Parts: sequence; structure tokens; C-alpha cells
Amino acid sequence: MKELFKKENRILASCDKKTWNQSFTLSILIILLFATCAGYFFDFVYMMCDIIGSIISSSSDIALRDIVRSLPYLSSTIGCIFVLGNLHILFRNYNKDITCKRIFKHSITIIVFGTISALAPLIGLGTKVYSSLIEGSPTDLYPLDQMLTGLVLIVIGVLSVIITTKLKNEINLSLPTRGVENKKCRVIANIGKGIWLLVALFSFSATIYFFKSIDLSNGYVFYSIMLFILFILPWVYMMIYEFHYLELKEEVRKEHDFIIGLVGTIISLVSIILFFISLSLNIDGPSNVGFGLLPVDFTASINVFNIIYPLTIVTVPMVKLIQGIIYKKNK
Amino acid sequence: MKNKIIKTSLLVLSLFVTGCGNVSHYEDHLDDYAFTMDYHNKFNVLQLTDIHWNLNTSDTSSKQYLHKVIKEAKGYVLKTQSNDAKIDLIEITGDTFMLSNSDYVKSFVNFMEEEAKEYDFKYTILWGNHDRQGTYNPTWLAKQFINAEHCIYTEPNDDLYGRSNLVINLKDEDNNTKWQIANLDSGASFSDSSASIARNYDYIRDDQVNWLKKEHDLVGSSVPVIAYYHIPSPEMKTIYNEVVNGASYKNKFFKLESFAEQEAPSKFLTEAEKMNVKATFSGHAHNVDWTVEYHNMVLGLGVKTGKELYFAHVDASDETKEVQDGLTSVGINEEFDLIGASLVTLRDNEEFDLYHLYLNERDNEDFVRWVKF
Repeated sequence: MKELFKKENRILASCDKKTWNQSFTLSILIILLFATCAGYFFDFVYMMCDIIGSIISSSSDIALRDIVRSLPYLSSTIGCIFVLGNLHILFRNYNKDITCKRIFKHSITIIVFGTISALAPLIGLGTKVYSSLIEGSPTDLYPLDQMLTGLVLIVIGVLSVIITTKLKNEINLSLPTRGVENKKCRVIANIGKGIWLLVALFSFSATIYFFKSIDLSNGYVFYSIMLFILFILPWVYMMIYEFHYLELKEEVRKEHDFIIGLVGTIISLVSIILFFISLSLNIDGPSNVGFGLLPVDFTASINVFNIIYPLTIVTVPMVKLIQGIIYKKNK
Repeated sequence: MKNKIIKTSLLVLSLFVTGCGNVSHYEDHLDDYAFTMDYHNKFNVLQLTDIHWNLNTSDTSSKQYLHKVIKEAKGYVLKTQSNDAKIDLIEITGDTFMLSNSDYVKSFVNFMEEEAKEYDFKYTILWGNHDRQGTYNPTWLAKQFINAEHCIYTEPNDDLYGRSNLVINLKDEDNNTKWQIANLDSGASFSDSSASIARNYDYIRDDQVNWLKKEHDLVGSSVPVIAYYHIPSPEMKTIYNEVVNGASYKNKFFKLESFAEQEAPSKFLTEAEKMNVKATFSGHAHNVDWTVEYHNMVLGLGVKTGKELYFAHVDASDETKEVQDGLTSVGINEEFDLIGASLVTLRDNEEFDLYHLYLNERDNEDFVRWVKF
């Protein structure tokens, strides 16, 4: 277990100053963008819950009206998440060709969504969707702020395309390679990681909003604490994965997958069991401490949180546990 | 000493686990729930319901619509009652916000305050199953309305279930209560157990019924009451089925979807009869404003206000029984949207009039219809 924290087992330990600086800068950018995407994605979920609510209630005309009005915001959210994806690809840096190929694909998507964010406000103004470019709601400067975000996304996308195609051989990036993906089950792994990212983004915002929105004046303290812990785990696991696990040398990783997975699974299972105990003791808790953090549950009248969160936080460490078992077996 | 430590620890642990702090009992401070307004014959209460401001909402266009509704209602009472008639009270009966943020709440309160100044009314609000579904704290939400100059709202921290429970006693010049208006919090939703997948619509709990009885007794058990809450009573479904099967209760307006009623038995309606409750009005099901006279009480749903989330487009050519029954009952033969407001005019003789307003914004001229129950 100590091996996991030894400096010499970290990839950057054997790197020069330039590589270290580039990695550090990239890590900071990833954290900042993760927080930005989390903020965007939380609102995205709110908007989509309302839109889907309209569709389910046979009011697709209202859903369409809302999609059109919120299009710049929805589009910016997707664009920003793809920028985050690009930073992650750069951080892992399989090899120059694969990295450039993947960043190129993402960048095209970023340009498309950036263009939608930038143009939709202008079209909306012409078609009277907005009374002005700073109509306000959901943000004070909406939709102008999303128009500007769209322009920024276009610039990022275009620059990324240029760098990954024309200037590919002239850019001197000295980032280390952090692990090669298993070719088997790559599609499933990517889908799984995508879901994990979305849960982590939502739960990061939920953790921040928790301090603002949870009301303990009627009690339900135990339930609230366990809810908080369940919100923390998905994004903490992701941060540990990105900045600690991927920083370890590949052989150290493989050697310790079993113990990492085991510890994670135990933490997740204990948290889930305690959460359900707290819920059974505070059965009216969800509707009395403020339920803004459970948007789907209280829109669809289904306890979605109780399914998605336990599944996510158990699956993530269990994958490592299984990989660890397979590695030990084949050793 | 050891025993003391164990006892204290157990007490703290039990509070932590059960979540029950040392809160006061609601019966000890019933006055804190009671407000007073001056009564006069033809006291007008305008019900707005299910406004549903959310992150997709353009509050600019929604405010424009709400302003039209309030202006229309004021114009209507001026035209049909007297030169000094006005909307005295606006009842906002839940789901004003859903998946919203604090900016929308502030914007709404500011709007209502401006309207209240312009049209000289007071307003009160109760919570639906979605109001607390936002990025703000429910107590913060309450404070915005408690601190608003023209709003009647309170939220004592005690053991009474729900938050928006209050009464407004309408008193005449001799300080006699002529009518009591009761707001009840019909909650959001609940699960039967921690393993339940489904969430059921909440219901008016027994302690809320007991609380209202106490409030009613304080002003006199013969005082007529009008009760407002968000989620329709479970009995609405049964009564509607009786009507469909031939019962001759007076009924009117539209029932174009399920009532999405409270899903657990509530004693409220049974006790309401004993409390001289003349009418109960709720919201929640946007495609329903069906109203019925049942056991000397009028039970109904208000007209959904505004264009958020969903509402019914009533198509006169639609031959389904529910649509045709509704159209026949209101005497409208054209296409319109089931949005607007409801007006209750309280009179001296324990009677009241109920009107539904259908107001649709249209390019040339807005569609406006008033229909009396």
C-alpha cells in the first residue's frame, strides 16, 4: 500500500522541469474546467428535466420552445464538456498520433456546439425568442454571455484543429504518457467513463450547492450527512483516478489494482448501507431538507438518485477490483 | 459521571439519527399562524397557480402575462362590482417555482411587490410539490416572502408538518371574523420505505387538520372557511367517477387529465365539513380546472397560470367526451389554452361566487373569457 504513495513510483518523478510544469499547468486547467463544466451541467440537468417533463406531459410544443430559448446554454454545456475531454486526452497522452486524432475529433464537435451557442442568440433575437441580447434569466447577461462562450469555444476548437493537423510536428509537448488503454471492451469502458464523468460533474455542483440549499431546521441530520457523502464520492474518485492513479507508473498501478479496488468498494458499500439506514430512519428527509439536489427524483416521482449513485460509486472501484483479480490470476 | 456521559451521548445520537430537534409544539403558539385582513362585502381573492418558473423561463415574457392576468381581473371586478372594487388578495397556490434558482425567486418577489403597489392588493403563497426543488434553501425561500412588504406569509419553526400553513382571518369593522382563509402545505412526495422506487404525492397530515381545527375554533366554529392547498384531495377522483356514473352534483369546467391527487388517505375533507369549510381549491394538475359542489362544499382546481411546463390546448373539434363536456359547461366553441386564473368573491351571507378566467395572449387581440361556476 505504501508503494502507492512513494515519489519514485510517480510518472512525473523521473521527468524534467519542463514536463513537470506542463503537467502541472494542465492539471490546474483540468480542475478549473471541471468546476466550470460542473456548474454548467447542473443547470443543464435542471433545464432538461423541465423539457422532458413537458414532453411527458404531451406538451412537445412547450418543450421545443424551451429548447430553442435555452439552446445557447445547452450547447455551451456540451462544448465545454468536450473541451474538458480534450484536456483529459492531452493529460493521458497515449502517443502523438492517437492524441492528435482524438483531439481533432473532439474539436470538430466543440466548433459545432460553439457555433450553435454563438449564432442561436442572434437568430433568437431576429425571431423574437429573446426581447434583447441581455434579456436575463437564467443568468443576468443571458443570452449574450453564452454567445461569447460560443465564440471562445469556436476559437478553442479551431486552434485545436490547426495544432492537431497542420502544426502537429512543430509543437513540442513533453507530456508523459499515462497508461495505454486496454483494447478489449474499449467502447464499454468509454461509455462507462462518460457516465461516471456526468455523475461526477453533477455531484461536484451538488456538493457545492449542498451548503447553500440543505435546510436542517427540521432535523434530518443523519440523512443529510449521508446524502452529502454520496455526493462527494463520485467526483473524489474521479480526482483520485485522474491525478493520483494515472500518475502512478503502469506496473505499480497493475500491482495495486486489487487493493485500490477493495478499499474503494468497501468505502462505497459502507457509505451506501449507511445512506439507506439514514433514509429508513428519516423517510421524510428528502422532501423536508430541500430537494433541489435531487431534480430527477422530484420531477419524475421516482427515486433515481437511490439507484444511480450507489451503482456509480460501487461500479467504479469494483472495476479496479476485478482488474486486480484478473491480473493476480494471470501473474 | 460515566452514566451521565452515556445518557448524553445516547440523547445526542438519537437526535442525530431521528433528526428531531427540540422544537416547539404548534399548539403553543397558534397566534403566530394567524393574520388579519379587513373584510368588506365582495372581498375578491384571485388564485394564481402552477406558474412554474424554471431555468428555461423567460421571466420577462412570463411577467408580461401575469401582469395581464392581474390587470384583467382588476378590470373585471371594477366593471361587474363597483367603482372601488379591487382584487383584495392574491392566492398563489403552489409550484410557482420548479428547478429554479434564487435569481428567479427574487425576480418574482420584486414583480409581485410592484404589482401589489400598482393594484393595491396583498398576496399570500403556499408551496406545491416543486417550489422547494431549487438551488436555494427552503428557509431562504420562505424569508423572501416573509420579508416582502405586501406578502402574507410565515413559517414558525415547530412540529407542525409542512411549511406554508397559515390562516388569514377576514374581520369586519366590529372585529368579528366573517371569513377564514386557510393555506395548507400539501407537501411534495414521499416513499413508503427507503427501498421504494416510486415517490407518491404527499397528503395533508392529521396534525395539519388538527391545527386548522384549533385555528378555526379560535375565531369561532361557525365562521365559514375557504381552504387552499396545492395537491388535490384524494376524494376528487372518487367524486369525479361518481359524476361520470350519473351522480347529479353540480360541476363545471375541464378535466383533461388525472387529478394527480394526494396518494394517501387524508382526514381533511371529512373534517372540513365539520369546520364549515365552504370551498377548497388546489392546483397541481394543469389540464384540470374541474369544480364540483359536494356535500355543501365546492371542491375545485384553479386555472393554471402562465405558459410554463405544460397546459391543455382545448380544441373545439376534439370529440372526446372530456373536452366536449368541458366546452359545453363553459359555453366556449373555439380553440383556446386552458390558462388564466380563478376568482372567488366572498359575500356577507357566507356565500361566494367563483369565476374562472381563461386568458390567452394572441397577436391581434388577447382571448379573454370569464366563466361563472
